[in-house]
Amino acid sequence: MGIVARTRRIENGELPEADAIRLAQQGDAAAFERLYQLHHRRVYSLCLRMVGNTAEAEDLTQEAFLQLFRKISTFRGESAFSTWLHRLAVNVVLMRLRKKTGSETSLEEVTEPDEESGGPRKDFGAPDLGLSGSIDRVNLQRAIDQLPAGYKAVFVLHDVQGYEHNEIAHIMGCSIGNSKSQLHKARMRLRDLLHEVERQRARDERQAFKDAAGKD
Amino acid sequence: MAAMHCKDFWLFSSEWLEGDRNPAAIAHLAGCPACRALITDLESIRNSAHLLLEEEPPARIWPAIKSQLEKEGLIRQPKKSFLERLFPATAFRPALAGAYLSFLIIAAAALGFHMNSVHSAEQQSLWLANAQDAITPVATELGSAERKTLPALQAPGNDITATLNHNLAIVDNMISLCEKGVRQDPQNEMMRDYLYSAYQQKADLLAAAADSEGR
Repeated sequence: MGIVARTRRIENGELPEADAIRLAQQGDAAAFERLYQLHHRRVYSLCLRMVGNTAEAEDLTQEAFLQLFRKISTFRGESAFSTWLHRLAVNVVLMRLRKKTGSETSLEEVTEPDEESGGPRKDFGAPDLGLSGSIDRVNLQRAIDQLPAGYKAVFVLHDVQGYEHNEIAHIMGCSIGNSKSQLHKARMRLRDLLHEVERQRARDERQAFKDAAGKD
Repeated sequence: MAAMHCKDFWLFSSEWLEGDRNPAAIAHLAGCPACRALITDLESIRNSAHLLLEEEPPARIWPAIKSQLEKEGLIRQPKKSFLERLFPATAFRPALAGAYLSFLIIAAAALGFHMNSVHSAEQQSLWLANAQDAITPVATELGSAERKTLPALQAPGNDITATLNHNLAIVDNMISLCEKGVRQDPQNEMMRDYLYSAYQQKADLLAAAADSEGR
């Protein structure tokens, strides 16, 4: 492909990913930008869901793409490019979370099964309020923010971004069974957290009713 | 069929969400409101995840990344061809590229005509060598331009493409005959004149083909 036609295809957003990768490996500026354009929304959204903070998500997106472009010459196509990129992005986010918490959280550790959280809730059998229809975007993001890093990553990758367990296993460097187990526990923990939101809302309403009754 | 208890069903709930309808689980669910509530909640959580749509990051991220890549020397400027180095605007304007080729051809032709006013054999040889030097990059660039416009020339089922290809074939045949004539008799003024005209026509046709690709 000649430079005129290639430049035009990149400008029109038509350059296929495989061609963009090959050209980026040669240091082509337009190809780097094309790869960024193809993947920036997903990477930014992943970072945003993982850290729940736009400024930090922006910083992490930048770091993830910089790492990607620094390493792009080593990409040999054994896995899908997006999987490779998401693995880098998840690692960047987990490293940041590790620095923030000061704990030695590694990709392996955050995906280890947690027996305590994997079992039935302590109030198992208690009457449930039911979450159907009460989950909004803000509450869900707040609940996700409270998940452990590993649960959060698997939930965001599977339920939000639509990755399959085999892809998540590749991204997270864990087994497929581990990915399924983490997702199950993430959903269970989210259920608890969202129920807590419901209970808090009910308590607030009762308190508001009492306050209003007291004034009368 | 072994009966399933709540604890077993909780462990099985992920498979249920994936569509696995184990008969023991169906039987358990029919008689257990708590596990039915669990499934309803998990389905709500899974379905609500779609509320968290992809978001557009701020536009400032890419310039920051690009700037850093440039600092680290990871981005290089693309190599430019002979034509692009001489006339950078042609990189984005095929019609200009064609016009520039035409200009080169006219210049080369003028060089050839000038030879007529030079009388000594030594001077004639020198001018002939110069004219040959001027033609060589033109012929090379014509070949390069032709390769670049190949996709446009190979577009199927297009009347314009068919006409362009037909005219190019005629001009190529003319160029071939004239080049042969010039090689046999380098001082044949009329043959050189025909050759330059043929180059000019080919450049115009390629520029037209490149323009038709851009539309």
